[in-house]
Amino acid sequence: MIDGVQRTEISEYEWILGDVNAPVTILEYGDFECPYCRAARPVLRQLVDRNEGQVRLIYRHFPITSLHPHAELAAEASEAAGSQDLFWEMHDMIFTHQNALEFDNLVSYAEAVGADATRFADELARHMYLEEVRRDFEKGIIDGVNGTPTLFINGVRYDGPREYNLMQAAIDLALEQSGARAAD
Amino acid sequence: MVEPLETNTNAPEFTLRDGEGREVNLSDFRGRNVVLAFYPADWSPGCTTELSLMQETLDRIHGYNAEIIAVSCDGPYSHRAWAEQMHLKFPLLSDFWPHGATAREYGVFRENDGMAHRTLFFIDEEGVIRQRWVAPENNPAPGLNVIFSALDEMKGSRQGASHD
Repeated sequence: MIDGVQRTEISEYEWILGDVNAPVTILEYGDFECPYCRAARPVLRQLVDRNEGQVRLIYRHFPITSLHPHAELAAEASEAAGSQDLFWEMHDMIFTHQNALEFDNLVSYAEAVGADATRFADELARHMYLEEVRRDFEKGIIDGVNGTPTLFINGVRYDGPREYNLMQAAIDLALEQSGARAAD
Repeated sequence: MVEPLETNTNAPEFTLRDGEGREVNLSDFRGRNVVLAFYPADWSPGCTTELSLMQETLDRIHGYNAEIIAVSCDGPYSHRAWAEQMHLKFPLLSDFWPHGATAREYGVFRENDGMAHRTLFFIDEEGVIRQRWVAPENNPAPGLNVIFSALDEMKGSRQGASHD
């Protein structure tokens, strides 16, 4: 049974960190209330920063609400901030404040990152972006999420440790295979 | 080296206790599809483990007239505490004593460490193993697509006249 291969396409509507044309894509399915996703965050950011122009990170939502009751609303909040071009700022804010993810907290974070808080609060209260979050979840099932975070590097699921050197090695391999030059 | 049972064989009957000490027989589930998930141990690191993902999609799994039964060689008290911590609402069965007897019958008992190898058996309504997934060497959890592809296929072949 084929497992560990991304099946969904990368669309033009993804949240992308790094150069949009980078030859290596790390696709992450994350849960905002999951400590392992939080722990992976600096590693993933470093991989994008240090492989300038070569690596981009795409984030999709996979909230495990049975374990993490705030994860879905937090995901919606990131989408609401994203509609004001503040996705990554909100993403970082949420992960930094993982233990405080009630509605009011999320509004305060939106304010802190410079969003129109009134619009944000209204959209979040109406669950305007819930469908987006749930669509990501469905994609995650198709792609074969096997935990959070689930990471795909150029379409192949990476099941190794979320540790910088090991992931850089996987990225170097992907760069070679994509024909681009590996970073030094 | 484990040698899990092949597909198109009858799933061996077993009687094992769950975390509440209740006896559960595989034959109790005749008439429903079963996702029989052997896994190495409770309390594994990582919050959103294989079993959490199954819990998260449990309604969907039930929609296939399917149930999940998870089996490890841990004792029942461990299962009870683990299920409570992880909010798991499907049976966790204890293959603790005789140690690994059921895992052995399914060919998934690891002699080197006394745990069940992470394996999924997809058993149909008549008790036949229709598909299986065996974890590769690095022991990752199965992607959710594995479960739903198998359930889709089992559903499809009951409705249509397709043959393997």
